[in-house]
Amino acid sequence: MGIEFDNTTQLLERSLDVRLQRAGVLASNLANVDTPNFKPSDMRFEGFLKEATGADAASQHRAMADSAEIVTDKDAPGGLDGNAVDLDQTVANITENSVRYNTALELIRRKLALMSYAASGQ
Amino acid sequence: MSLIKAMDILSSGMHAQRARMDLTSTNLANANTTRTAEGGPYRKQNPVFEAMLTGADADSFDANLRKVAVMGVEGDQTPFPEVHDPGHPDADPQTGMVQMPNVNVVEEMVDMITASRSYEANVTAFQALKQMASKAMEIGR
Repeated sequence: MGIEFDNTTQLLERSLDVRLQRAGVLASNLANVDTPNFKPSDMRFEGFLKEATGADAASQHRAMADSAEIVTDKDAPGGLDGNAVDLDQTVANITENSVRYNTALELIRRKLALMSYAASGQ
Repeated sequence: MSLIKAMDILSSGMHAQRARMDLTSTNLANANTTRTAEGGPYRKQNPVFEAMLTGADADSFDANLRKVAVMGVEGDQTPFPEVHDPGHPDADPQTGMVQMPNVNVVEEMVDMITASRSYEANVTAFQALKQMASKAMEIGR
């Protein structure tokens, strides 16, 4: 149950959820940057993009809900201790993720502002 | 999954790096210690890190997340180097050899730099999360 004004808002809300989850996955990669034999995970969105283009709004929502999956490359080559986390890459991903989160948030905020402008009747 | 959980994970990372830094300073400070309570020279101490579940049930999303835990400290098994120094109080009376700690100062310095860089990375990510949280609070404004 979320903000149900229109499809876009719902999609944005879903995007916030997924970005939040990805923040957790990336945080656990970063925390384990020196844990022997740790293999990093990430969330994959490519499937979502492919499915969502050209589909109607309802299936777009479904696609986004279903296909943001977590992947772990168990055979990723690690360093001397078998750890495969790339520190710089992870920090970059976290920053990118948070920028995207903030963008979705800002879009929701503007949509709500528009809504309240319309409701004020001025 | 919440931002607080992600912050919790990152603070476990900071804690681990700080523990590693503490051990590095202990090792550096004792780089020339030839006497210990256990007898023999000082043995280099290494932290043992382990990826740990965040305490969620297996089906939930949180089961994919791992904190880092400092499981303990282990002595480095590298043999002690020996130097010839007959005047040393701990020198072998026959051979004049002294067993020195198995601490490599250069190695410790490198370790210290990587620990500090990992710590900073955790802080940077923490700040990004903090910003996300405060931005989310502005949503109705």
